[in-house]
Amino acid sequence: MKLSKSIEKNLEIFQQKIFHDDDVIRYRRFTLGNTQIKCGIIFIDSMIDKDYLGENVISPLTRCKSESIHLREIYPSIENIIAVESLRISKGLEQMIEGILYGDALLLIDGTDLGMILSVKGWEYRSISEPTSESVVRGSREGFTESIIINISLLRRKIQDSRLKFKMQELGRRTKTKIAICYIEDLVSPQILQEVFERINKIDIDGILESGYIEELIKDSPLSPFKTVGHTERPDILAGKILEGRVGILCDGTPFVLTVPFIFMEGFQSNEDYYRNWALASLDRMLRYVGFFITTSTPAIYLSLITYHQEMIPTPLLLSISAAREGIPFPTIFELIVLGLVFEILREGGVRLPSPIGQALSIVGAIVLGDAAVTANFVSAPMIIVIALTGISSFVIPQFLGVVILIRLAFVLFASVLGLYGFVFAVIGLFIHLMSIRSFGIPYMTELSSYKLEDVKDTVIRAPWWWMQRRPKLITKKNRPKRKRIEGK
Amino acid sequence: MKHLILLLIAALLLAGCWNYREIDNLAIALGLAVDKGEGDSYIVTVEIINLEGAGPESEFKPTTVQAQSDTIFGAIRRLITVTGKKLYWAHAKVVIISEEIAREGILPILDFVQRDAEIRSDVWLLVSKEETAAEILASTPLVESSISQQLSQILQHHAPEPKSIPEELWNFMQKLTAPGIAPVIATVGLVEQGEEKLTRIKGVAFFRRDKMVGWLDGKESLALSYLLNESISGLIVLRYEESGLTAQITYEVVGNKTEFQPFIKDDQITMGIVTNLQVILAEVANQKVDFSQPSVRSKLESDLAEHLEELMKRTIIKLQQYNSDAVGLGSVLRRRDPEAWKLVADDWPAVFGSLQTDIRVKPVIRASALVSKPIEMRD
Amino acid sequence: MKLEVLSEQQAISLMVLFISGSAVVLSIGGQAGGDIWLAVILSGLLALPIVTVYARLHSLYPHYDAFQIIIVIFGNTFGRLICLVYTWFAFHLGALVLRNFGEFIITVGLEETPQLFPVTLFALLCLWIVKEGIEVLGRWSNFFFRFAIIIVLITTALALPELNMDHFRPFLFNGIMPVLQGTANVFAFPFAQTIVLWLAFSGFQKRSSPYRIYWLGILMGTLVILIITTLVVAIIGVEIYKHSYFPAYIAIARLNIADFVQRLEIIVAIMFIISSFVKVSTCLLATCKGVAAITNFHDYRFTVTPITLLMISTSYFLFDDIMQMLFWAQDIWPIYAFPFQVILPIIVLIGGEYRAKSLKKQ
Repeated sequence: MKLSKSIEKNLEIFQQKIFHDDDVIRYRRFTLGNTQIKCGIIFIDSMIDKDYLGENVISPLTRCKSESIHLREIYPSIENIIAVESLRISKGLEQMIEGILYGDALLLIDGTDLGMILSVKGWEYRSISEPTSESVVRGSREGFTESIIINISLLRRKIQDSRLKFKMQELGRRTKTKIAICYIEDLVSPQILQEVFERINKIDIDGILESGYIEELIKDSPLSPFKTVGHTERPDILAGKILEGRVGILCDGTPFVLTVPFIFMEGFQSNEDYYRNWALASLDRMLRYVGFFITTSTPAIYLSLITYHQEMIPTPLLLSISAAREGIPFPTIFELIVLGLVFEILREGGVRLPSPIGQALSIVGAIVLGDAAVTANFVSAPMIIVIALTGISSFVIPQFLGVVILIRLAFVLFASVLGLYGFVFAVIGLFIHLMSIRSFGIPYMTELSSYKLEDVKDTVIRAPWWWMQRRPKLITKKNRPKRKRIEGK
Repeated sequence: MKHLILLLIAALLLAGCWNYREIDNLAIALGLAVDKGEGDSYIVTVEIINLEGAGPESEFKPTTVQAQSDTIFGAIRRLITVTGKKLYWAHAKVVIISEEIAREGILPILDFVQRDAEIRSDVWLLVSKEETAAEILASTPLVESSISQQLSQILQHHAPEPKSIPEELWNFMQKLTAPGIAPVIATVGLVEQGEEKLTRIKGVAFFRRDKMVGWLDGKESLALSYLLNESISGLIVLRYEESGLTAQITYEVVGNKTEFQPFIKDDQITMGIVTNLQVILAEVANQKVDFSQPSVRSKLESDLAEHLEELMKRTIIKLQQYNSDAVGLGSVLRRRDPEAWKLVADDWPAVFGSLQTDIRVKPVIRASALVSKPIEMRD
Repeated sequence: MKLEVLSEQQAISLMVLFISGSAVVLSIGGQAGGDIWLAVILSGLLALPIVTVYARLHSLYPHYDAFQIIIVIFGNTFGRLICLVYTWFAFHLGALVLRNFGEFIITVGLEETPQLFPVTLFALLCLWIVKEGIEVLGRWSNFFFRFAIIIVLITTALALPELNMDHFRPFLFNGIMPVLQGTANVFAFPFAQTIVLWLAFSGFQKRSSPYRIYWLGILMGTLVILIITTLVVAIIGVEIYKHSYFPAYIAIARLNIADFVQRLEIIVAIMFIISSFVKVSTCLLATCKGVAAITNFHDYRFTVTPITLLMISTSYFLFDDIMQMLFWAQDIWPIYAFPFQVILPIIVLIGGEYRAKSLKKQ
């Protein structure tokens, strides 16, 4: 389908064929100044700024003098009349439709088969607010919003470097979601970047509603429960990752931005680590590793101790556990799995519920399960302690909240058949898996399986800034110094 | 990969849980006492923990169960018919052996204890001074909740008052297998206090190979402890007499180190033994003894040396009478003079019986607790 | 096919864990009695020239793995024959270690569990990592190496109060002969077994020297074995060391710090599981590569599953009981393994030098 030179026909095409039956499309007709040239503007109600359109487009066009308009080159001549900062003259119908759907206005003038797309976007969006999924005590309070334009501006404001590049693309056959791939030209590794583009170009899906779609479609080892693509809601985190040579993928319609490659130890880092005293931050980091260990392993270790390796428990403790278990009708493994399940149900319920009800839920859960079940001799008190400890510890590593449940379950199953030996087997298996997966060509456990002092600086501890002179080796191979070495140091 | 995971899951699901045992299905054994029954049989008494009540209110009470059989293993199996639960031995604290069995040789018992992977090698060995070993388990625990735990506590904290030499099973086994040293086992008896019978650990039984041959009393076992370089404390009370001044002096040993040096002359081995002691004056009953004077201190030191030398001599002679080298002089010889040892190794017990010893004790009074001078009383 | 390469660190960790393998729990070099430390040091030194042979071969033919080197040197027929011999050796060793592992598990922990079950599970883990390739194995070892080191250090620290150095005196009580016997024993198992590592390695990262890898590996392995045997003998004494199946386990059971830190045997078990995992996986990898080389396939991965299953059943039928196994490990192994571990590598080296020279001339 092509446009003709008659405005009436053109408008009809839009009204009858393209947008027929669509009530939110508006068609505004007027004549150009004191000439008799007919014009029409097509736009979507509520996606444009009406005042702006009236003041800067319609009003100057209706008032303009005929001598300023050259009939032969009508579009170039009215470019100076319209006070819109971005406009383009277009021939393709596809482009015009896309523009209208994305909040632009289409200006059609009688006698030409061209259209002018005017950028008059003006829809409502959420203002920048504090991100709820990642809260910090110290650090920027800004969070990304659903608008990719605002998100880009947030990132630009953090890194004012001409070498920070954004590559815009559209994904989703129907949703036409805008995404932006951003990176710093001279820090990013070309192989990783190429890999990112290749994988994104391979995506063929009708709708992208959230960056999670992209995450799953470009992820390595799709069967693995471990995430190999990071996501964040905070511009400062994204800026930090990009400065380390990673690639960010912004997606319109969601405040969650993806970062690749994502390696295991990133799950234990928090942006606040870098804003605080390095010693305290290092301590926190180690706490997270300990938390990971506790949350995955306590149930399995407890189970193997009390069902296989009773000799390892000190006698007084053994006697009190034995007393606590006296009269409990269920086997320990059953008790463990059911209680664990109940905890996860409580947690899941608490997350989705509005907070006042959520509180009520946790009270009911705590009282009913914690107290009544023990008094009624359904579960033993030590088991409640184990489950509670497991649950609490999982909250220090929000990045792995889901996967730890799977790990825990696997550990418990192995421990239930071979005791601690089974547990060790499961740990071995876990690490075989962790060692074998990669994220965009980077081994997942990079730096955690290295002894070089340089690699340890930002893993188990967070070394002071004056000591971290280089960017992570495997992710960026060029331009590694983060700061210049101070003479004499 | 996928197949592997499936295979693993299948393996886990198909597997039974062979070693899985619930903690509440175990009868936790804390102590074992072995007595001689009629004929060749053994009477085995076991202290187990018995739980009363259920859930948070349950509490444990120790009880003893007894069975008799020709072998120890048989007797213990028979106990299941009494308890209804399998006995769990990993937390056993003490093995008490009656004198009769000890004199016959304790290898059968050790064999059972060693072979059973559950019993840990740090279980304490004791020889009963009473008629049977079972009596000990029937006495009243004062502090702990069971008599076995009580005994284990006493043995563990014996250092300040070393009237005996506690030996764990592995230590006994090590001495039994090592060349040139004989094992000892602490002895336990009962004392009556009002209605209750309480245990008391004092002295040791010494062995030749696995057969008990004699007893040492509390003082002698203290001397033996010093000779064995056990790290212990210990109080020694002596009477001080000097120019009409008498007082009871309590010495507390705070450091001990015994060194050996074999001398060989005309095929006759003499063992030189030097014990260095560091002592403090813990209690001086008469204020007139001025221990800040060097002369008084050297007198105090020589008193102590004389007393201990005599005690050690007596102890060694007693051991020599039974040819039981509990001091380990043979192993000293083996270390210090391997060539000489090779000559006598084969009939060491006999050589030990006639061994010459030269014992020196060198005490040093290091400090006098917190006071530097006697308290001077004034009117 | 792209050569899978290891970094220096990874190769060294792999080597140290391989050497610690089953040696950490079995009683090795008991013949030397109280002078076992001397036997360990001597055999470590003895192993240095042998591993130098492997390193030399690596640097002569940097782009080939061991089986390819052998075939290049000796030609298709004879080379394949040697490959076959080595494939058998690696396979047999893997089965032995697997059996050893099974005996350990059921003796010390799970008496009522049928041995085949934990062994199968364990072998499946090995299968998995071998399928993932030597790079993953290298990374894995590198990561777990630090745990092994931490375990050794902690145990040493905890054991200090229990050590009785009298067990080492007098020095050379029975003369030098027993020490030499012990040396031969420790040399054959575990040091000279590093031949399997040579078979499994396929290449190293640029700028890493095979000499440094092998020498450092042997030295650190010697250190680990030395620390462990010395500790164990100092705690339990020579007699018990000689007469128990798993002396390290017994020794660690003795440790008791203030009645709270006690009953730590599981630490030994963990160390043992980690290191024998590396050992079995390496043997399995070497076997699979051998089979692939003999049958002229480029990728060994398709052979892994059948060979693992075969190894499990071989380990099961190899011995009747633990006593027979120990007899093999201690008395037969040094003699059986000598041609594989010493004579053949030297022949390969001579052939390799000759071949390299003649290639240069051309």
